[in-house]
Amino acid sequence: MPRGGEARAGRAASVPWVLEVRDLTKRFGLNVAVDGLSFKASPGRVLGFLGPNGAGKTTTLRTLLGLTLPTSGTAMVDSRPYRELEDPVKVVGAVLEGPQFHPGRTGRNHLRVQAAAAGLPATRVDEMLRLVELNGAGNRRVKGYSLGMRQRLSLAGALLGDPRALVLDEPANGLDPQGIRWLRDFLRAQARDGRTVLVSSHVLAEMAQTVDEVVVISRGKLVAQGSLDELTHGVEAPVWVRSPEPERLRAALAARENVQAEPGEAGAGWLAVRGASLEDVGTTAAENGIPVFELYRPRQSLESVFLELTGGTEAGR
Amino acid sequence: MTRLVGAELLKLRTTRTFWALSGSALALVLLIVVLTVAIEDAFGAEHDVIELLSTVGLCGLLTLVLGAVVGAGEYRHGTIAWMLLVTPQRLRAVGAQVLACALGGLAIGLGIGLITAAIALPWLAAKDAAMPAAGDLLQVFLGSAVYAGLAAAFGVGLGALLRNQVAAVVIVLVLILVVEPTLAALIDGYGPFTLTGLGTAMTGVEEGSDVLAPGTAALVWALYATVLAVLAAIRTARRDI
Repeated sequence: MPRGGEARAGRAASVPWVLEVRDLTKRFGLNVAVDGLSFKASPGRVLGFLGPNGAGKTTTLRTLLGLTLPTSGTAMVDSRPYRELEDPVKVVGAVLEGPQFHPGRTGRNHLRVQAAAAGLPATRVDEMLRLVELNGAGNRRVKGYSLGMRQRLSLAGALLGDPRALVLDEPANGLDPQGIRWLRDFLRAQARDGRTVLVSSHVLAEMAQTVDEVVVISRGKLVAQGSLDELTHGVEAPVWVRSPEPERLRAALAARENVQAEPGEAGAGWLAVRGASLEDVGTTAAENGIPVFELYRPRQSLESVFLELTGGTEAGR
Repeated sequence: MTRLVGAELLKLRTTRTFWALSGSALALVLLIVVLTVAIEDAFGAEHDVIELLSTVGLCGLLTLVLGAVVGAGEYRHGTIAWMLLVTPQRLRAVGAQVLACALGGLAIGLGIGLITAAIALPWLAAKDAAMPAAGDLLQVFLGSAVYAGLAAAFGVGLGALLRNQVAAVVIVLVLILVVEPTLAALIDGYGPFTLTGLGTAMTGVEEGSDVLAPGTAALVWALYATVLAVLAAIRTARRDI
């Protein structure tokens, strides 16, 4: 985004938090969709909002955007509830999940209506269509758009007001690999420009390459929050070691305090060692004269951390 | 508010539904007027001409349907979400939509009235019809246009309240074609207050003790539309989207 980047970056420095959810609870009848959730999203960074389907991500984002009323707690944009913002499209741009277009209206007309309602100049419409690479399809009816094109049109609508923050609910849905790469570059560019970007997704591998920080929720509750490094190191992966004498090595390791070594699933000779560092395993083998052919600790992927934190639940929404 | 109403009018104009229902209303009115003028040999009384031209009021039925489709369509297509993202003050958002549809309905009524007048009046004059005074003609056309506008506003309120397009259209039709005639037959004095009775009164085609004055009829209809719009706005304000 070329417009207003430096000014926004300066403004970002003086506004510590733009999006904040505090002790948010939302009930639908007896069902508790969000349960005492708190987190903040800061300017210049992409915050990934992760959780299995049905964890309460969409409800949280909709509450932040004033579309759903909280049962208790607060969801604030720029220190105010969204409904109290005087010019909301200049503060937050949003992409929501689900249908949001009249199929008989053209993409350009959809944006024209949004721009007119927000009091924005019509020139922004063509600028945004060019930005999301839909300028050639702007005069086509939305019902002829692919899912990916609709996502881009949503993004164009979100950016119409040149907002300081973006709230995106599953924006990668329906995008092909090229589209996902485009989205990743796009979101990184938005953050570099000083915007606060809050993005939910279940495409975890993609999120790992896009976000600076993550908030993980499960069953409406916060289960983890932090930078990717903090999160992936917070859940310790076992050390893998391959030796021609696995039983001897296993016994030697088991003699150490709090160390567990089990035959690994990778094949004969492999051990999975928990409670010990690479150095501990290597030293123990050397001290006991046990040959070691391979020794490593895999870096935890965001996906495995996510599944571990959320108990591997991926059902329902 | 002007900005929002302008955006809602743009929203109306950029869908086929608006143009299809406007075209249908025009075709229906012209079909009846043209056939009647062509078939009838004599229009000896001014009231015959007024009655014929009051056919323009039929467009109110279609603007009523248009309003219901627009009001409920926001929920059907999910456009209510971004409508409220741009205008989070929900009472303002619903109010702007009701006003815009009223203006759209008024424009449809005026347009159809003008086209009908341009075709029918010279033709009737050529057939030596007893032409009513200009004021009476104005009453018919303006009354029909106001009726079309208020009908659209009523439809939007109903559609936004029900959120289901099919249900809203069916309820509108059942109300006008079944419920109101039945209640008017059963309840003495209710006839002038039915939607049909009010529409007839607004065009000034009938006069008498059992018909409200055009201005009063317009006020009563506006009251109906306002009540529905307020209910829809309150419900929208409290609803999770």
